[in-house]
Formats: sequence, C-alpha cells, structure tokens
Amino acid sequence: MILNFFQYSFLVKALIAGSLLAIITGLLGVFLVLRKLSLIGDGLSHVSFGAVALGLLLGVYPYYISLPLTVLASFLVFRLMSKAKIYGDTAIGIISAAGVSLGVIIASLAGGFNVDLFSYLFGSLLAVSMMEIYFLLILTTVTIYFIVYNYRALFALSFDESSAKTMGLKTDKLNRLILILLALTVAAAVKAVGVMLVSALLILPAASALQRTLSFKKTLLRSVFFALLSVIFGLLASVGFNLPTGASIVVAGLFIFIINYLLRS
Amino acid sequence: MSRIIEVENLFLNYRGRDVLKNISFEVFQADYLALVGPNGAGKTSLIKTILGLENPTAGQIKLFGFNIKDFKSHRKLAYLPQKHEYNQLFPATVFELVLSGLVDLKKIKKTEVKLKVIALLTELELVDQANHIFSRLSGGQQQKVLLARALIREPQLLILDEPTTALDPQIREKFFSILKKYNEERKMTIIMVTHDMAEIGRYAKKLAYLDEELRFFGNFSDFCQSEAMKKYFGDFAQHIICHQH
Repeated sequence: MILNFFQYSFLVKALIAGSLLAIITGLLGVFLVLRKLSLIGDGLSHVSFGAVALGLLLGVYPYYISLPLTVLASFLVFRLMSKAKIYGDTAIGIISAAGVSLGVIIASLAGGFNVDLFSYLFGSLLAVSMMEIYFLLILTTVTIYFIVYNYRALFALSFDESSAKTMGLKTDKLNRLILILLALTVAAAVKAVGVMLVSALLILPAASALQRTLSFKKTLLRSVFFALLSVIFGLLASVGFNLPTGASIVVAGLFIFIINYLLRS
Repeated sequence: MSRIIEVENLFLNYRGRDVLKNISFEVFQADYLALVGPNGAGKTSLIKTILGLENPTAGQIKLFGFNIKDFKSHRKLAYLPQKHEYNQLFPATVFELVLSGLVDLKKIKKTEVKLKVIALLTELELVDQANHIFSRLSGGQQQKVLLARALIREPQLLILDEPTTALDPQIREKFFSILKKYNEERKMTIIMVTHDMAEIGRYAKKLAYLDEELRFFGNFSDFCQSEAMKKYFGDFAQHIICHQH
C-alpha cells in the first residue's frame, strides 16, 4: 500500500503539503497552548472561511483574499486583547463570530453554499496545488527561522510575559509576529484540513507533547513529531479506507493524544 | 548613594477607580525596602507601574535617573512576579529556566553562561536539580529557581512580589538570607512586596506601608515610633515587627 501511495503524484503532493503544515502547526501550537490561546486558530479559521466565501463570490482565487484578511483579523485580535483590555478568549470569540457570520451572509448572497466553499469547510488536502506547496515551503522556512532566531525570547515570553517585558524584550513585536505566522498558517491550513478542523491541528500535537513534562526543546520536537504522525496516519487511513482526509488527520491526532494521555496516567 | 527609583505624585486609575493616589518616594542604592499593606492596597500595581508594565494616570517615575518611558537599561533590572503570573506547569528544566534570565544578553560565550548558571545553582543549593523538570519541583523549590533566574542577571535592582508566600520556614529562611547577602555584599537594591511583616523586619532596612496612598515610608526605627502606624497595627503587632527588627 505504501509503495502504491508513492505512485500517485497527488498523494505525494498531499504528503509534502501535510508534512510542511505539520511542522508549522507543531511548533506554533506549543506557544499557543502554553499561553492559553489555543482557540485563536479556531477564530482565525472562521475569518478565513468568510474570506474564502468572499473570494469565491468575487471570482478571485480564495488564497489571495484569505491570506491578507486573516492576517488583518489577527491584528484585530491583538488590538482587542492589548488595547481594549479584553480577555484573549473573548477577543477570539468576537473575531470568530464576525468571520462565520460574514461568510454565511456572503455565501447566501452568492446563492448558497457551493461545492468549492464546502471543500474549504472540511478540507481537500488531496487537491493541493504546487503553488500552495511552494507557499507552505516558504512559510515553514520562515517559521523555523523565526523560532530558532528568537528561541530564548519566545521561551521567556511563553513562561511569563511581564518579566519578559522587564528584561527589555519587545513582547508586542514578538506577539504580532507570532500572530502573522499563525494567520498565514491558518489561511493555508484551511485548504488542507478545513475550517472546522484547523484548530485541532494546532492544539492536538502540542497537547499530546505536553502530556509528558520534558524540556522545552524536547516538547517542541515532540509536538512536531506528533503532528507529522497525524498527517501520515491520517493520509494513509484516508486513502486506505476512503475517508475524508482532513477529518482522518485530526482523528489520528486525537488517537495520539489519547495514547499519550493514557501513558501519562 | 545614587538614586535608583524616584516616584513623584504618582496616580493610577484602573477602570474608574484610583488604585494609587499621589505616591511619592525615593529608593537609593543598597536599600532593602519592604512594601506592605492590606490586600487590594495597590502594592502589585505600584511595582508594575515602576517597572513600566502599567501606565500611570499622572505623575513621574524615574529609574536610574531616566524617565521610565525612556529607560533602556533593562540589564540592571530583575523582577520576580507573583506565582499566579507564570505558568507553573511550564515544560522546562531548571537549567533552561535559569538560563532564560539572560535572554537579553547576546554577546556571551556558551561555556561562560553554563559555568555562571551552575555556580549560581550551587550557591542556591539547586545544582542537583539542574536537569530536573521545573513543574515537578515543590512550590518552594520553584521560587528558588525563579530567584536564581533573577539573580543570574546580576541586577542592580531586584523587585519581588510576594516571593515567600506559602514557603516552608526552612526555604523561606534560606530565601531571605540569600537576598540579605546580595543586598549587603553586592549593594543590590531590593524591593519586596510581602505580607510577612514580622519576618521582613529582620531583613529589610526600610518599610513602605501602602493603602492606595503611601501611609508610611521610612526606616524601621521611625516606623516603630510612629503613632500613626500604631493606629493601623495596634501596639502588639507593631511590637512584634519592631522586636524582630
């Protein structure tokens, strides 16, 4: 089955795209989970849904609309949290509700949900294009560089933002950069696993890695490893049993989490 | 002695309520100041405003002679926040956490840093736990790790917010004696928010009593003779604090 897998270029492309996405979400997810901002991926994916609907309505390739709008939404979340003194989950909830409602209105203006919009709800990794793979490759490189270059600062920020600020770290700038990377990741991930499941890809590998208390570096590496496993097993299950790809990847991630949880217990 | 902190007519309003009213005081090099007061008196707000984490509604703050907005010498500062502010389940080794105290120090050799961390962990009797996971340590050990994270910066000003809450007496004693040593030998300026008034009297040189306004600021002998403070604490409590001192 594995040998057959590599005979189909669309499967190979799906594996490459999924693996790149796994590296990014595995890394970023740890920072989000530790800072209790797990659901930000969910909120931004809903914005991405609204943006995709707008793109389809205007006849523009959805990526071109969803990338800038999701980044913009991430700035709004940051502004609400820092300036309006609103708790993170409330800010995420506001942006999330706005994204979904606008998406539904736009879809209804366009005459209801069509097949294209539906594919973004549940993902279509098997239909990933070369352009999307190139974009993910660049995003993965940038994310790894960002984390390696700012590793100690991100560590301090994740442990305690107040003391990080008193050490002279530019915490606002770091927070904004994380959010931009996250927004770009979410916009890209929506095509792969869908709006409904994108936050799972950010949360589950990190939550699985955090079931065992290890050093920070090992936690990051384990999170990436679990994200990669989810993608590989999810794709194999999807092809082998003719299941939806996005959901299969998330279910694989869920199994990995349960195993880690049980091992810890 | 040089001025480390200058606070002048400071006000802080939070959601329509003045949590700090007209606060003025100065802290000099090698001062060891205990900041005390009832719950909700504004102690944490005051230190966060001094550190630039909160924006004052009115008034002026200077750190090392610089207005807080223009202050750039963060190497001179270290801050140990209250327990609930940091993630006690954070996945990191003791070594990683202490090392993160040097996050703003770029030009230092890895081996030099390692030796520095090990030396400090030895001094704080934590060297055996260097590779232990932070979240698995007791509350007292965790506080010692955070103290090491602050001290590795070799700060000229160390601000601690209720660091000894819920520590067992042995660790608390060790904690206080380390601070005393750094204060006396290295002339480190220390400000400690605490509820532990009887204990702090043995170590701190000055005392600030805050209840939205600064009710008392001075050394312990002045405090012990203050009639105004007698009204706040009663004869007996004041006696305990002054006796310890």
